[in-house]
Amino acid sequence: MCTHCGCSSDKAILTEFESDHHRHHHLQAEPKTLHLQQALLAENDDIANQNRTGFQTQGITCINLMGTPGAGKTALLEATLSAFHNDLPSIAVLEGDQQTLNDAKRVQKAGGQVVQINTGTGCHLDADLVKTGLEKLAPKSGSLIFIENVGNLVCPALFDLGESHRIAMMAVTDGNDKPEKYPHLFSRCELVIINKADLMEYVDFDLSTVQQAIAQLNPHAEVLLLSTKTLHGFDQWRNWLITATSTENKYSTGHIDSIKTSATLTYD
Amino acid sequence: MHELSIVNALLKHVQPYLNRKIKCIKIEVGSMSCIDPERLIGCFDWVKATVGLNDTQLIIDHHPAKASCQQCQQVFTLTQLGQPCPCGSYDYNLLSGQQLTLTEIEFA
Repeated sequence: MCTHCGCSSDKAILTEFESDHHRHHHLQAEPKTLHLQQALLAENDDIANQNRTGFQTQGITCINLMGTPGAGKTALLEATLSAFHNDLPSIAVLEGDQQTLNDAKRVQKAGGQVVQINTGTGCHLDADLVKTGLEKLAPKSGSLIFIENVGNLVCPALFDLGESHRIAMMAVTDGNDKPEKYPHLFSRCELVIINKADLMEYVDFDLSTVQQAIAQLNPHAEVLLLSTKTLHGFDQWRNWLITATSTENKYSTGHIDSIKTSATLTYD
Repeated sequence: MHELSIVNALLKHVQPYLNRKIKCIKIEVGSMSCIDPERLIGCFDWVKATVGLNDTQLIIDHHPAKASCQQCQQVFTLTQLGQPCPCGSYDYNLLSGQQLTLTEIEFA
């Protein structure tokens, strides 16, 4: 490849120097077709890896929390901050929403360090937005970072942010068929949280149907039914977080590697 | 609509070659990539004039996904997520099908 302009020519080149710039010509015609193997998301993945390296350097555990709008992602963070502040590392949050500072205000009120990222028309967070957000957030060494992604079951699944754990979240009010309808997100996570367990008796929600769908999409994913209102299931949630932030697990990236290498869907 | 983000990423990859007239761009899209090919072409057609690619065509090579079963070890074609291996197991590794790769630029 020509190192000057990045074109594919390996032929001799002629370079003319002018006053403050120079230009070059290839002595032989460029090929008409250029064959490449360039991953389109390589730039995002490079930045995600920079984020990941930063987390490892600072001993930070990072969780990408994705899910339906209204699943209770922010409520989960509020309840987690309130219930476990003695059991977990210091919690910092990057909030992703198209507009408003509402979620950041709620997290701040609950005692979390927080930065709001407004994506405007954007439907997901990408690694570069997270990198910028992290510069503002300046998390403490050893902390636990939650990235609350834009409420959306489609687009966030595709973008590695540098996280070490992925959670997909829905609520019993979302209905039984969300995992089947949105398989990419539910097949690329380690944990599925089903919130609003306290409303189970009021809605037509069949837990076993949802568990079966998740088992078919992602046999190694854990499923956790909880309520951010009554704190039902929070003992298991605390145990999951303690395991996720433990030294041996805080940097596990099995599911992330699967996205980037396109080679495996193994969840360690 | 994440397809627009993918088109923007594609335009960055094509940017070094904009000094020549580009007839078509080929990309490989795996069937498990979470990308809608028609929407991707729609997004490309929507923004291509902004970088002078008015006459450039985006061609998509569809690649089916292959998976390797953890139970019976056979390699099979996966047409959708949540589909079992022919042996009935849902425990398999995806071998291919998530790629989003720029593979060819043809100049006019």
